Amino acid sequence: MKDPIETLKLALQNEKKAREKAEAILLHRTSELLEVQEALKKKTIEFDGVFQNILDSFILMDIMGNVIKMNDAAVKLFGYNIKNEDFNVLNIIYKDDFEYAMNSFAKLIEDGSFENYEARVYTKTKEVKWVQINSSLIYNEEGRIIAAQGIVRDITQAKKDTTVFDEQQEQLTAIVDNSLAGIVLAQDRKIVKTNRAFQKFTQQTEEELFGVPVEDLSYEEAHEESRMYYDQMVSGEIDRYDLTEKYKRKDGTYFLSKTNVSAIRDASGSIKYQLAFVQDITEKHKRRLMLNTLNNLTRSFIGKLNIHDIAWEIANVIARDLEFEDCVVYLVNKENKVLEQIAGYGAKVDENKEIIDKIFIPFGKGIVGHVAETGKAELIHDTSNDDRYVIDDKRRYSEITVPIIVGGEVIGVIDSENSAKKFFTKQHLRLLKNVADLVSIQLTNAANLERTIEAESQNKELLENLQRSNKELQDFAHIVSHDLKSPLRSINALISWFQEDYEEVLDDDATETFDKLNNKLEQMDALIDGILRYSSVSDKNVITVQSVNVQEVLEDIQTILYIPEHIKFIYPEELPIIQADKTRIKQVFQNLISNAINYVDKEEGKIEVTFEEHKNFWKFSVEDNGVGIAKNYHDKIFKIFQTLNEKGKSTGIGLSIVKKIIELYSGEIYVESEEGEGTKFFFTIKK
Amino acid sequence: MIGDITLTPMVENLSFLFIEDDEIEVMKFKRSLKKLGFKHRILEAKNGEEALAILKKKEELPNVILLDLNMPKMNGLEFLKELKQDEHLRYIPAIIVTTSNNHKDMLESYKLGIAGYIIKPLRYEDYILKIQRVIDYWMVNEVITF
Repeated sequence: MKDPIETLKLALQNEKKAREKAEAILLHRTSELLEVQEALKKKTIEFDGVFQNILDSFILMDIMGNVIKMNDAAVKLFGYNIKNEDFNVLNIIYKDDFEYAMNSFAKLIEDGSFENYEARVYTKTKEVKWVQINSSLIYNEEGRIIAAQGIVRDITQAKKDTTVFDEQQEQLTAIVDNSLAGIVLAQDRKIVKTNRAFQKFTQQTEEELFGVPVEDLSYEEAHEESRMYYDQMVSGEIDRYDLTEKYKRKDGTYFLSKTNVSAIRDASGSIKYQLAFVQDITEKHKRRLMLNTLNNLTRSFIGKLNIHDIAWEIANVIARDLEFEDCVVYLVNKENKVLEQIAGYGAKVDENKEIIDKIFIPFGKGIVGHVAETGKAELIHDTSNDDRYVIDDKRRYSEITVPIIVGGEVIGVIDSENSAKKFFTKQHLRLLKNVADLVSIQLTNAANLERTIEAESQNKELLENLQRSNKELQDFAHIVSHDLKSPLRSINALISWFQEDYEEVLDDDATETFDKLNNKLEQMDALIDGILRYSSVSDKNVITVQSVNVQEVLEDIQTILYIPEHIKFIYPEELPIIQADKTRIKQVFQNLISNAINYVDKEEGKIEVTFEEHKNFWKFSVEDNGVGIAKNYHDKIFKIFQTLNEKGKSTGIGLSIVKKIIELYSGEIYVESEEGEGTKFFFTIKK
Repeated sequence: MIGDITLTPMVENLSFLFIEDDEIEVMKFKRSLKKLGFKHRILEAKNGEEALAILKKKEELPNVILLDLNMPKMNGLEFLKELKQDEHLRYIPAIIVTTSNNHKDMLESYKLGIAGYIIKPLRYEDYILKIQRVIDYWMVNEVITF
């Protein structure tokens, strides 16, 4: 057993040793820390000079992110000043950039430095700024990290500028790339840059096009003109020019272009670049071509009335305008059920416009015969796949066949073939259908025209016949009336002589008989005169249009006609002046008034003329208070030789003449009458 | 003086060429003259052809010609045309006596150059009156002779 004091003494010693040991360690630690501090101090002093002299912001921070040193620029940039406050960089990292910042920091620790850290930070005033930081670690002599330093550049403005520039670049590229027009930049007429549209047009890539002389791409036909313009541009006469030219495609086809070339000059005025805008107008050109074709055809159809003439126009115009290899027009022969070639263009026609080896295609045979039967147009891209195809002079691979339909019936077929496959387009088909419609209309018109001409000639003939008949009738009336009148005169003379020669032996009865005889002669004479007047009413040679004062007419009539004392003749004080033939107007009134006089049976007779003015005509009336006319005779009285009077007082011609005259002036005549009361005649005369 | 035409002062007895195909008309004319107490000389022709033959002989030329329009062979207007083409005969006054009041005939006659156009009335007494006036008129005229 050990002595307890001894044990305590031993423990105390041990404790003393441990403390000594701990103190030694502590001392060592402290000296270490002092060393670090010393080194840091040294480094700090080392950098201090640099520190003050750099314009960029500079910060020094410990590994926890606490800033331990910052220059004035940094103070200005961040708004924090470590002299007054704590500043830890972790607190100012823009939220979206945190991950990037941490990664970058890890990389800094790993590599010892990090360049071109670009991220956003919050300033003290919560402003967001873009900064670019180049940083490195600081080690102590033993190689331990003691701090990190960074040069911070404010790139907010630069960043903004870059964004704008990028945007503009992007916009410009968008414009250029999305432009439907091809854009070509050339230097000394060699391609420097092209846009997508132009690459698409030419079927070449930007690389393939680079450095290619522009003339290599276009057809030679426009080169001369192009060179001429270019020379003028070089000499400064012009700054831009337009040109229509064809450009080659990679696949051997071409496109038609409207090219607009501008000069881009340097400060001295020399041409630096040529900028060309290239528009593919192939389709537009084709459309115009088709429209022109249609126009040309329409024009050429004018005056052509038969299918043969029209067919030749179709064949020639279509083939020429649309650059078809051939075009044949067939006519349907319904009787023999065949199609006959009646016009053509191309291999089927010789120099005398005669069809070589004319063939007749039976209905239903070949594509043409088939179309004739169905009445439906056909567009065939490859005839070698079509069993119906009939080789005429040689096989051609494309075919377009359109029926000409008039009145629902196929009367002909327009057909064109081409050596190339897929030569004909839907546009071609549409055009040919239009042409066929046009032909149909033209032929229908022609048929109508023929009918019209025929009808016109028939009308003319009828009119001539009518005129001749009228003339003959008038002549006849004159001759007959002369021949009839002469004997009347002879009879009258003979009676007179008889009376003279046998005066002594003739008693009163005989004289009375002779008077009656003479009376009959007078009636007959009046009748003949009436017929004559009637027949000459419409004699155009004698119609004049003059101003007729109706009042004067009525005054004249009063002197011609005997109006008995007991009949009052009344007319308005103011009567119009009308445009007509005076003699005829007088005939109208004279006939109506003398009729009225004849039929007045009252003790106090009255005849009254009145008138109304209408917009387009005058309306007159002649009224009497005579015997009147029964209703069933109202129409009859206007017919020639119709008289209601049995006593031979009238000839029955008077009212016919009146009606005929009124009708001559596009007027109307009618009667209102009550038997025993009187009669009122109305008539109108066109103004 | 027009050629060998001389003017004869007012004379009691005129000579008329009466061209008419209707026998009764001729009688009417003659009888009228007789009734009116005129003693004028009357040359008769049945149509234009006959009349021209008489005139072309130039043995006896009338002072006045009276003619109908409707006649066979050569009608009045045809006769007038022929007459007016003769450089001497054209000066003989020609008067139409007809039943035709056809406007066209009248116009045509005046165009050819007539001295009057008389329409035959129906009544004989009216006829006599008209003839009297015509003859009276020509009797107060200075006429030409050849």
